[in-house]
Amino acid sequence: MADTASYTPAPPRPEETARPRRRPLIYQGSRTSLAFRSLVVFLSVLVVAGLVVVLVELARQVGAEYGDHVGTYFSSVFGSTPILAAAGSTAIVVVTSCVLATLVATVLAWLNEGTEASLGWAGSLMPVVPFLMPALSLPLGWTFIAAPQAGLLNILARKALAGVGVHLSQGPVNIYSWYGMIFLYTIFLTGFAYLIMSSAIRNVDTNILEAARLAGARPLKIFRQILIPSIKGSFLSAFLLCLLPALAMYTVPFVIGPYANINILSVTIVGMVNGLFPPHYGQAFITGLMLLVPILLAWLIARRSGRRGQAVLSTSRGSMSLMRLGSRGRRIGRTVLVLYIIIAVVLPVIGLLWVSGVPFWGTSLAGPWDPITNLRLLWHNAEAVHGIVNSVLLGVIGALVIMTVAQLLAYGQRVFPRIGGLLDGLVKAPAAIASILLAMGILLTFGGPPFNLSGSYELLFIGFFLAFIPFASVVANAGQLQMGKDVIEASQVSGGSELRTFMRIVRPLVSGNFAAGCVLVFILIIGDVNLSLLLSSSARPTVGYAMLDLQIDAAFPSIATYSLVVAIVNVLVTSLLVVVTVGLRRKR
Amino acid sequence: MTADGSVVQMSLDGGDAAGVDGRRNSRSPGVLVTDLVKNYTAGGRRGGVTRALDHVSLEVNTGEFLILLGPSGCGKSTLLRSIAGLETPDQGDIRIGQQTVFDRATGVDLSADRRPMSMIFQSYALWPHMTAFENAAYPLRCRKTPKNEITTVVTEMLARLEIGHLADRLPAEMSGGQQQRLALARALVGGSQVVLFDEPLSNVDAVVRERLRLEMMRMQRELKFTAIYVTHDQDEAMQLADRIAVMVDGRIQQIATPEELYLNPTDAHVASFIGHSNRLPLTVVQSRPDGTLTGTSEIGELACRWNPVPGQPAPAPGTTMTAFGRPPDFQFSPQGRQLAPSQVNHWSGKVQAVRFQGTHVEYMVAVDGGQLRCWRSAPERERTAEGEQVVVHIDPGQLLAVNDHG
Repeated sequence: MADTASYTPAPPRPEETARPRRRPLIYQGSRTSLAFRSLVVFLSVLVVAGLVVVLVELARQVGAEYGDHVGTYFSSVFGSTPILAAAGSTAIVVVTSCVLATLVATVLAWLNEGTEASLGWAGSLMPVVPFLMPALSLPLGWTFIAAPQAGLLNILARKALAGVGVHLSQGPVNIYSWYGMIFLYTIFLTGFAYLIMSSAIRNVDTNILEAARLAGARPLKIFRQILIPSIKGSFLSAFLLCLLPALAMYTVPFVIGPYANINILSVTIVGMVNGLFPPHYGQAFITGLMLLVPILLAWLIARRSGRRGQAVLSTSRGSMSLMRLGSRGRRIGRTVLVLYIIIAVVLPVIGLLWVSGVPFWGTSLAGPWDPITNLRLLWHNAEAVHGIVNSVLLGVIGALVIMTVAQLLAYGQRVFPRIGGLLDGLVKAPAAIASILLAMGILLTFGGPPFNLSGSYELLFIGFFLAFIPFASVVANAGQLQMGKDVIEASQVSGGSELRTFMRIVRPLVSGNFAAGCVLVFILIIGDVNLSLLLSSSARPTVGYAMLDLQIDAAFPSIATYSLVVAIVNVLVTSLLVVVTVGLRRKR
Repeated sequence: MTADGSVVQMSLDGGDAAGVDGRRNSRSPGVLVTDLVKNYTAGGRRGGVTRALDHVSLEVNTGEFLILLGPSGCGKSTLLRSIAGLETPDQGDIRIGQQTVFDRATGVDLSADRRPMSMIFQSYALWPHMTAFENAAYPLRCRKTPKNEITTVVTEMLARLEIGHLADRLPAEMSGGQQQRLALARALVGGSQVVLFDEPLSNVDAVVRERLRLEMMRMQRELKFTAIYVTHDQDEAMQLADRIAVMVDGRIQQIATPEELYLNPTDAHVASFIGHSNRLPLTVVQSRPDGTLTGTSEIGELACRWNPVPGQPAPAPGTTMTAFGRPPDFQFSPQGRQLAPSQVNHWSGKVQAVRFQGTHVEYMVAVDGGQLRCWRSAPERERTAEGEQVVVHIDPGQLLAVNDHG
């Protein structure tokens, strides 16, 4: 072996024992980039600080109200039978309606997005139409249709039944019931679930559905055995998305609850602040904590599932070819879609139209129908008219400001990747706080000295800003995520500063998303009741405030007229918002 | 830096030199990367740390076309993005030309828009709301170039890349090849001396890809910019590169000219990544300082060469290595016919499959203990049929034994 040298493998790299002492990295961007970063930081701090200040003040007030006896009051609230009963009722209504809304939305989304029964753009708009009406319109419209004695449907049904010898004093349908309450919650929440389920169905790989079809499966079987398992991840997201508005829902339990003898927490909390003098802020706060727990849980789960969901969406292909159903299947599918439109839109609008033309709401159909008189009456109701003007102005300004801030903050997550997740969480944190609690906190913080903003536009704006920035942020993030990072990085490596990249690349590319976000925020502001209850006043009324006043006065013809007028204003303003925001941004 | 931690010397003469033409007469580095480390943490606190760049050092000469080649996840794109300023390394420093753009030790981190380079993305990243002219003019507008100058320069560049007539079109109205040219125009219009390419040809079909490669080479030769090009396509790498850096697990395993990499890979990773090979694991029986060794493998005794490295001992008996032999270097003939005077590296076998590949015919020959791929140039006068008994042979000088690890 003299001619054979020994062989040893190359020695491993020495351990990094003497790591050089590192100085913190200093970002060296252009002056405009630095200015832009400062703006993003300032806005982030503003949102987060606003929220923190509000919550701290709320906690301080509770402490001041109860002093050393906070523990006693906690036990009095959590040991109170009526409050615990309200919590139980809330849980039953909310969970049942969220499940039902998710299921209904899945069927509607499949029919409209994935089959040839599709009604096209009209079908896609269908589930969001209820959002265009003021929040009180849906329960009131259905009350006018299905109240046990004076509901239009019941009056007509009793007449028809009397013709065949069956005489009823009331009914047969009763909206003032558990099923009525759950039914209205479900219709309202279906729109939220539809947003998630339609997107999930659009992103399903057509090949797996076509493979099942070629294997001889019929449409319903494909729906059950292939489509549903493929999108099961989205069910949780849809359910969680429904949970937030369901827990915060005020209008349906406010209208239905007293007659159905069902107490819901959101109404109970508002009653503690608005129905008692002096307001029991502390008690309301402690009761509100019951809402906070499920909302926080939902938010955390949604964040986790959302992170997983993005990867699934990003690998899927663009558009789905429509599944053939055959002429009978198509007929059935379209009937289901049309039935939903009738239930969610047509019937409540008919109810509102009917009552808007009668002098008072009753069981008689014989009287004259004259909506102009009610419209004139409404025109002379200063609070109602100012409510529309104020809400529209706050809605338009709020939508533009909130969406602009949301877009900047969404871009900020790219600028500061290390703290992007934290920033995102903080911006969306207000969503985890029951809006009634948020309104209380804002009122306590900014209503009195040193701000003295009670009853002002500014107070309403702060409320809308903190309450709706999470929703705007969700939309803005989705838009920027869809845009992809390459186009932004291409601008950076081409020499574009962050300001230029935002203005010339990001802003034009998310114009559609910006318009959609503006419409969403506008609708949220116009439809708001929870914040308006506490933050607006007779001097600065909003639509929600004016409608509740009319409801309390039992001025049903006026409130029906008001609902229809607000719905028309909503359609006009949202159309205008879309035209202006998209149009301006397309202009180069 | 190679896998064993030594910095690769990028001299233009000697074994590592490309020596392609007179373009690289300057020895100043176009890009200098030193001891770069980049870790990714996945899955929060409980997630593990993945080292994407593991002490990478690299010197790219001015006007050179350097390819970063490697499998997915080897760190090549991370390295490119770190140079561009789109990733922040955890350690090391980067110089572009005479300018330090990143230095972790002193805290220097120049933002991407201030680094003297441009980049072409895999997706092209053209801005869909801007016309071809506006896309190409963007880098000049960022530099506040006068309008009339922008018009002149952009028009000229678009014409040079044969898309001048498409100046008013939106990217969506252009074909993949035209979009690729537009991306190239945008990267070159600002006169950057360093252009980074992140797999720019992976989205176009084979015919367009071939044509664009040639155009890219022509542009690089004409404009003399320094190119760093990421790809996992070895054919593309062999065609475009002055030098190729093969990356594995966040390290540069070997950096050399395409020819040197093909003929003398330093380890099994590189050998299996460059060109087609028969891979034959062996145990060393005897090695000699003259660069030859014998060993045993699953298909029998092997005689092959190994590349002695100054200062490193020869492989000891019992060491496991892998021998690589290129399919064209394996000869075979019907059983009984004499192939070579020596009986070394001869194996009897049976032709299992014959595949016509255009430029050559590939034979899969089953031998005792394994399978060998052999190529013969096409067309052949007499093609061996499937099922025939043959004898396969390779010259020991064509069979290279390398370490299994770098």
